Amino acid sequence: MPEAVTDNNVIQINNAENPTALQALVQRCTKEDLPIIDYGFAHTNLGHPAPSKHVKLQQHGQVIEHYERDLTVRVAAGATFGHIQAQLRPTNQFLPVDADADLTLGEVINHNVYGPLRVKYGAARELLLGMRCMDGTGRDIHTGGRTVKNVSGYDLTRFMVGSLGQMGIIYEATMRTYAIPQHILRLTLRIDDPAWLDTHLSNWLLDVSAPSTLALAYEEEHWTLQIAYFGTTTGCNIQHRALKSFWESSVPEPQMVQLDEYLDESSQHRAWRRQASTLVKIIVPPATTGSTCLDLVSSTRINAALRFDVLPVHGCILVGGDLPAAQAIMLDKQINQIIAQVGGVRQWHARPLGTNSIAPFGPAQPDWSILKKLKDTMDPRALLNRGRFLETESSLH
Amino acid sequence: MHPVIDQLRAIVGSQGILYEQDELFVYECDGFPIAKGIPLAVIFPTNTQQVADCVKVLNQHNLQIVPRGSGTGLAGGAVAYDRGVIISLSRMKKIESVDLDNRVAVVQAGVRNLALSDSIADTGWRFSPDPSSQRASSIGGNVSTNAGGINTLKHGVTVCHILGLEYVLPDGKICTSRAEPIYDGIGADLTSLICGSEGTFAIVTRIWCRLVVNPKYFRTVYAVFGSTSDACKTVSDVIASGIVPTSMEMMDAGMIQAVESAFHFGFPSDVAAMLLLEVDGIDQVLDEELASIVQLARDNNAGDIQQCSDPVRRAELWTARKKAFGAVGRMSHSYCTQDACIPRSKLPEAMEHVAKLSEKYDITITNVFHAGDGNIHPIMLFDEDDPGQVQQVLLLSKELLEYCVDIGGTITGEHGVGVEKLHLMDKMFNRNTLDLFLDVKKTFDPDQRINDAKLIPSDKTTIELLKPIAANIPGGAL
Repeated sequence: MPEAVTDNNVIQINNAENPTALQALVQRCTKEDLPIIDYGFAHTNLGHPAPSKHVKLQQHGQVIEHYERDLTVRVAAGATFGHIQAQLRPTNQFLPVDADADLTLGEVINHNVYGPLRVKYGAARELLLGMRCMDGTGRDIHTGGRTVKNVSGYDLTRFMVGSLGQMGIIYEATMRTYAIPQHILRLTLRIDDPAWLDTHLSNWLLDVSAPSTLALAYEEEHWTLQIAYFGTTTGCNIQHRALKSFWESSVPEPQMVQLDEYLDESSQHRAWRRQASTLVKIIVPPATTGSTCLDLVSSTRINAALRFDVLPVHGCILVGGDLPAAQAIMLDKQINQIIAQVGGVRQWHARPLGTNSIAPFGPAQPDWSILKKLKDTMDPRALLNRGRFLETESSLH
Repeated sequence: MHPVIDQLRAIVGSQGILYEQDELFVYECDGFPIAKGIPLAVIFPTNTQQVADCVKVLNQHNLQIVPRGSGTGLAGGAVAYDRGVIISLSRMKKIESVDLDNRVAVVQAGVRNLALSDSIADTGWRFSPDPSSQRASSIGGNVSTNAGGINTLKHGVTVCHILGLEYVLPDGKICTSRAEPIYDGIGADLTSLICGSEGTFAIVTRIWCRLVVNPKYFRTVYAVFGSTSDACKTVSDVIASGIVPTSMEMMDAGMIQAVESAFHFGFPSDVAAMLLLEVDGIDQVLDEELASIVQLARDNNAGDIQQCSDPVRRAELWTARKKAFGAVGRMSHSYCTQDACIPRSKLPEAMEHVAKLSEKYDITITNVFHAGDGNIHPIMLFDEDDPGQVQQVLLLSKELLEYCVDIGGTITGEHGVGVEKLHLMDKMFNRNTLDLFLDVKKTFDPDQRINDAKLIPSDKTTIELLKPIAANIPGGAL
């Protein structure tokens, strides 16, 4: 397989053409005790740094088979979303994930990447049907399949969602696709008090005006709600009219956009696209999302330097910006205090230099002890993304 | 009396344990009555600590542990072999909290599926999974089998609605996965792994359920066809068009006649197939959506098409669907329901294949199934007192399921593997995957003491069904 030594310690593997080649790679790395690192395109700085000597794996791939009439697609995990969406578009279908064109499907699954589309379509857990992967012992594993319902065997397919590439190397995946919506209306509303969402979002979701996608953003000291309606022309117009009643104040006229435009625009707004030195993802109970955002802005007093990209329905807050180390440490302290009060987790995607005191993941979760055992089962030599997240006995030694 | 009885009684009280032989017969099987085993005892804890304490005691005696919900499973997953002890969660039926701001309900595992949605019926929210057993089946049981249902076509299977779990490991330790009202944790999705594990890792005791909007507006339509193939083609065309109905169910001629003669819903009796479809959403848009579906049905030679938005008629139509199994009981003393899932585009050819198998094995088959999901349920009618017919049913089932795998499908879409389909797991998965499944099982349960030899073949326990696969499955089993 294509291979290059980028420096004395890192061997770059640009593709593993087939499972046999991948298996040979795993066997070689096992023999030489070389960790295999696949941190992906947008998650390079997440978690602990890679061991100095390692094999850096970057898979390529493509759509293997599109089952057009079943609305499912089988894809080599190294395929980028740009490629996947381009392949699906002529059939009027798409894979409803807010992923940048450069992200691979494997990265989306490993990191459970999602955005505002999750409100209507769910996240990888809902879209993923089957998988082929290589575990850390070089076993070629097939789970799930291409049917929309399947309860045979353990669901190692969905288990891999969010696994940070620690349990196996995903080789290919089968996903649900959806028809491209006939009509998309998009509008942006100014909101003075994001905490309003904490108490009113559930009622809004019950209303006809419930958005198909929803994001809250904070930039230049202003909060805005980014709303979109997906559906038929009639349906979108009805929902927009209903929003005027629900909102009880002026609602701007919406903009009609095509899906590509929606995705591109959405992509520009995602925090991890920017090359900020500081980026942290926080998950809190949804009904505390707005107040958590306000607390962070008021308590850190560094709001001018920060941007918030928030998914209120799912309690997901991405905070990014260029902060000096001292302010990043202060931000982390503040986040931890809030999580201690309301519950939740946070993970640092990027930390400025000089912030080693910030733990990349936390607080420790009750399921991590079991996950460590499963890591030992599926990757007993801790070859896969060694040291990044779960420290097992093998990785420590 | 086994010495463990007194120890268990000390934990759950004398009202919380059954151990007399005549009391145990009720628990010798679940909804798959061919798999049978009399447990040593059945215990009924009322809280998680009792479950953990019982598990520790059972470990001291090296006894097999079998978790059980309401016993509506259809694959023998809740049967105790080797004089194991059943831990029934049926008295853990407390809805502990409903948090509408976070859209999460926390329930004990024994809460019935419908009880949760009923308890919040006036709020506009619901717990979405709707297996036909939902009046009886517990949410813990739904988690255990990752249950499907009629509206999963649009709204997803059980795992899509579970945020976190509390469970008791085989060593008695109480654990949780993502158990706050948060929607994501950090690391691999353990909740998804435990969902559908058929009680082979741990005993699930508490569940964080995601609540979703209960749709207010519906349109329901039924269309009849002169051929099964045309009905299947309609299903395939609707899916391919990108429309996502809430549900899309199909009955063939035999089933329509059975339902009609039993319950008199007014269905025509001289048609080959009927599709029952429903869409939900914004009231003013539904007619538009339904019109597209109706046109596709007409394009595939649908005969009579009846639409309704009247709630009474709608309820009648769904009652007809849900009573289908009661009607089968009038057609044959014995019947066996298969469960497989195939790619939806393969439905027309798959149903033709089912008809050929019916002819080949000389076994009458009737069909009612979740067509929109490609989840087929051929029902084989036979006489269980005729060993020849029983054998034919067995062979037919095996050939059918192998065919489904060959066309890209799976051996079970929603009922689970249990003990019923263990022998087909090596058709479904390669050796590596089966080995990994067993390794994962042993990670949770190193001594293989919890529900061993269910869902995946065991290297410790062998289960042989004394009688072949054949079942009189209670009505509403699908």
